[in-house]
Amino acid sequence: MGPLLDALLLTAVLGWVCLATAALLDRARHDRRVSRMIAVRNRLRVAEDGELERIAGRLSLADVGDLVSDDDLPGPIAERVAQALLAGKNQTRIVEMAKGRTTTHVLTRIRAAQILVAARAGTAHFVLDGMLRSTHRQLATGALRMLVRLNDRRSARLLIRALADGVFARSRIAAAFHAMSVERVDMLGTLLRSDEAIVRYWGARLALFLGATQWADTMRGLVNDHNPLVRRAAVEVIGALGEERDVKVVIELFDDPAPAVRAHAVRASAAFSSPGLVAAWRRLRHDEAAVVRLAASDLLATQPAHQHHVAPLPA
Amino acid sequence: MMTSTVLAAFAWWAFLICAVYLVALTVLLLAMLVVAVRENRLRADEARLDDFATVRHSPFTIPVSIIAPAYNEEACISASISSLLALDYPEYEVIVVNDGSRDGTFQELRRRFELEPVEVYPADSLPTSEIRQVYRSRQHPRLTVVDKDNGGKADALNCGVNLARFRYVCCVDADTVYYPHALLSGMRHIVQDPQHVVGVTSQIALSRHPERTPRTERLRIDRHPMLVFQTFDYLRAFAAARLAWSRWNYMLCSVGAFAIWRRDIVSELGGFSTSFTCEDIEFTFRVHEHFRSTGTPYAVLSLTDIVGVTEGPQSVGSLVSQRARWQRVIAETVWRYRRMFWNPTYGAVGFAGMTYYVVAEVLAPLFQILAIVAVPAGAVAGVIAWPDFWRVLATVAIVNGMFTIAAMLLQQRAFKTFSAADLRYMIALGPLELLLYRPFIMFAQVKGTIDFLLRDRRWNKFERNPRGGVFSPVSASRGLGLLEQRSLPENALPLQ
Repeated sequence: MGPLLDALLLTAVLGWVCLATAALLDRARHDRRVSRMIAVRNRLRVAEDGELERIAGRLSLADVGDLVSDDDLPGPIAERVAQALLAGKNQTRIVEMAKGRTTTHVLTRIRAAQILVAARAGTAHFVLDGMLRSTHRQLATGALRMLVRLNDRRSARLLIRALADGVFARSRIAAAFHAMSVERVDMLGTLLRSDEAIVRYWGARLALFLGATQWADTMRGLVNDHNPLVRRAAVEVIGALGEERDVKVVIELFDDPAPAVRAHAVRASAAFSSPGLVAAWRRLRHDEAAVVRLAASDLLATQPAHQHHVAPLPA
Repeated sequence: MMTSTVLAAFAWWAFLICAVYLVALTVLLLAMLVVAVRENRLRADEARLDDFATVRHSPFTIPVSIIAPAYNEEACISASISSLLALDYPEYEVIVVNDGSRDGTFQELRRRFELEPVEVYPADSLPTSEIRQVYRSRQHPRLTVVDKDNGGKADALNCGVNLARFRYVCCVDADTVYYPHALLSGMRHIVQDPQHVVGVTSQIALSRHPERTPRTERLRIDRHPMLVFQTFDYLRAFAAARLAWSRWNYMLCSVGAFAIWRRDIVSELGGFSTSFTCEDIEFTFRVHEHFRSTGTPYAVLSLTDIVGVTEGPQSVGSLVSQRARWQRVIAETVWRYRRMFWNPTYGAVGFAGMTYYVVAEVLAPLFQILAIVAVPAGAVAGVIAWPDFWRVLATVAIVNGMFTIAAMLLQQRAFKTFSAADLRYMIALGPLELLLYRPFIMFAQVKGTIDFLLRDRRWNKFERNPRGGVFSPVSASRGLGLLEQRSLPENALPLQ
C-alpha cells in the first residue's frame, strides 16, 4: 500500500507543480506580449516610410490583427501596416483564411478579416457579409464591429440587408447601423416598405434616432399600420419630429387598442402644445393599463400648472 | 475484542465508501473541467471580439431594470447604489426596495440621494407585502426607492418586478459594489441572442469591505486567508463547474448578487418564491423546469466575468452561518424538484445537473460524517496506518489545490483577472485549504443539512465585518491590496 500511496502523492505533487508553473507562465507570457505590442505600436507611430513596412513585415498575422483592431493605432498607420502584410501573395492567402477556406478557427478568420478591413481591401465587404450571414455568433459580432469601422455606404447597405433578412439579432445590427456616421438615412426605405412588420418596426426605430425628417410622410402612414409594434415606433417618430399638424394623429392614438401604443402616444404628445392635451392626459391617468397611467402621470408631473399632490399609496 | 473487530470492520467499510465517493466526485469535477475549458475559450473570444464601444452608447441596446432589495444594509447601501448609478450602460433604471429595514438604511438612502415621494402605478401581477411609499431621487432620475413592509428578499424582488419598466430585470444585492462594466458584461449575451438567452448570472469577487473597493481599477484580491479560501470556492464554482453547466444548458444556480432574467418569465412563473429561504437557486430550477417541460428552446448562462465585489464573511462563525444556509437551501430546492432527477423530460438538467447536486452537495455531509467518525473508530481498532493516512490526506489536499489552480488558470486565460503577485499567493495557499478551511465548510454543510431536516427557514444573515476608522482609498489599497492602475481602451471591458 505504501509505495502506491507514495506514487499517488508524487503524481499529485508533480501535477500541482506543472499546473502552478503553467498558470504563472501564462500570466508572464501575457504580460510580455502586452509590453511587446505596446513597444511595436510606439515604433510604428514614429516610423518613417520604408521602416514601417519593414516592421510590419516581421509581424505575425495575430500581431497585425491585434494591432489594426486596436483603436490606439491611428487609422492611416493601421492601413499601411495592413497593406504591408497583404503585399505579394499574402492577399489571396488572407482572403481565403477570412472566408474560412483554409482555417476553421474563428479567431484566425476574424484576424484575417481585420487585416482586410484595415487595408480597405476590395474584398473586405464580401468577406464581412459572409461572416455576418454565417449564423456563427462570434463571426457575426466580429463582422458588425468591422462594418462599423469601415463606415461607408456599402457597409451600411450590407447592414440594412442583414437587418431586413434577420440574419443576426436585429437590435445589434441596428446598433451597428446607428453607430456609423456616413450618410445613410435614405437607405431606411428598404426597411420601412418591407412586408414584415418587425422590419418596418426597426426602420421606424432607426428613423427616430437618425432624425429622419425625409421619412415623415411614411411615418404618418405607419401610425395606421396593422401591427401595434410599428404604430408604437411610428408615433415616437411623429413626436420627435414635433410638427403641430400631427397633433391630431397622436391624439387619435390615445384610444388605440394596444396599451403600448397609447403609452407611446402619450409620451410623444409631450412635444405638442394643443390645449386639449392636458385634459386627455388627465383622462389617461385612469386608463386600464398601468403603463399608460404611468406615462400620463409622468407627463402631468412635468406641467408646472398642473402639479398634483402626491399622497402615500392606499393600502 | 468483539468491539475492536466491529470497529475495524466499520472503519474499513467507511474508508472504502468514502474513497469510492471521493474518486467519483473527482471524476465528475474533472469531466466538468474538461467541458469548461472549451466553454471558457469561447466566452473569452466572444468578450475579446464584441463591439462594446457600440453597445455601450447605442439607444438600441436592450434596456434593463435593476432591482436591489435592501434589508439592514446601512453600512454599504450608499456605495452599492452609487456603483449601480455609475454603470456603463445606455439605458437602465435602478429600483431599490427597502424591505422594512430596522436600521438606518432608508434614512441613508433619503439623505444620500435626495428622495421625494412620487405617485406610481405598479403592475399587480405579483402579490407582495404592503408598499408604504415610492420615492424618486432628485439627483438621479434613474433611481426609484420603494419603502415597504418587511416580507423577505423574494417579496422585495417581486415588488421591484411589479414596478420594473423594462423587459429584463437584473436582481442584485444592496451589499455589493458593482464594476461599471457589470451590466454590459451580463447583457452582451442577451443582446446577441435575445430569443434564447432568458437568464444570465456572473461571478462576484469577495472583500471584507466592498464599499472600499475602487470601481474604476483592476481587481486585486483581498489577501485575508479566509477571503482567499472563499475566493477559491467561487473560482471553482464559476470558472469550472458553472461554465460546464452553461455549455450543456443545465446551469442550475444563479447568483443572488447578480442575476438577469426576462421579466415576462418572472411574472409568468409567479415571481420569486417566498416559501424558500433563498430565492435565487429555486427560481433557476423553476425556469429550467418550465422550459424543459414545455420543450421551448432557451438558455441560462453563467459567466466568469467578475462584475462586482461583495462582502465575504471574515470570521468562522459568520462563514458557518452563511454556508449552513446555502446547504439548507440546496437541500430544500433539490427536495422540492426531486421529480426532475433522472427524468428524461428534463434532459441534461435531470441527468447531469440533478446528479451533481445530489452527489456533490446534498449527500456530501453524509460522507463527511462517515469519514470523520471512521478515523477515531479506525484509530481505536488499530487499523489506521498513520503514515498512509497522512499520505492520503496530503494527496487529497494537493489534488484539491490542483483543481483550484486549474480554475484560476481558466479565469486567467479569459480575463487576466489576477496580478502575478496575487497569483503566486493563491497558488501557495491552495494546498492548505483542505486543512485550514474545509473543516469549517464540512461543519456548515452538516449543520445546514440538520437545519433542513428540522425545517428551519430562517435567513441567518451573517454578521457584518467590523468597520472602523475613516475610509481613505490609499489606506484601503495598502491594507487590502486592491489597487492596480490600468487604463482601458474604449472597446475593452475591465478585467480582460
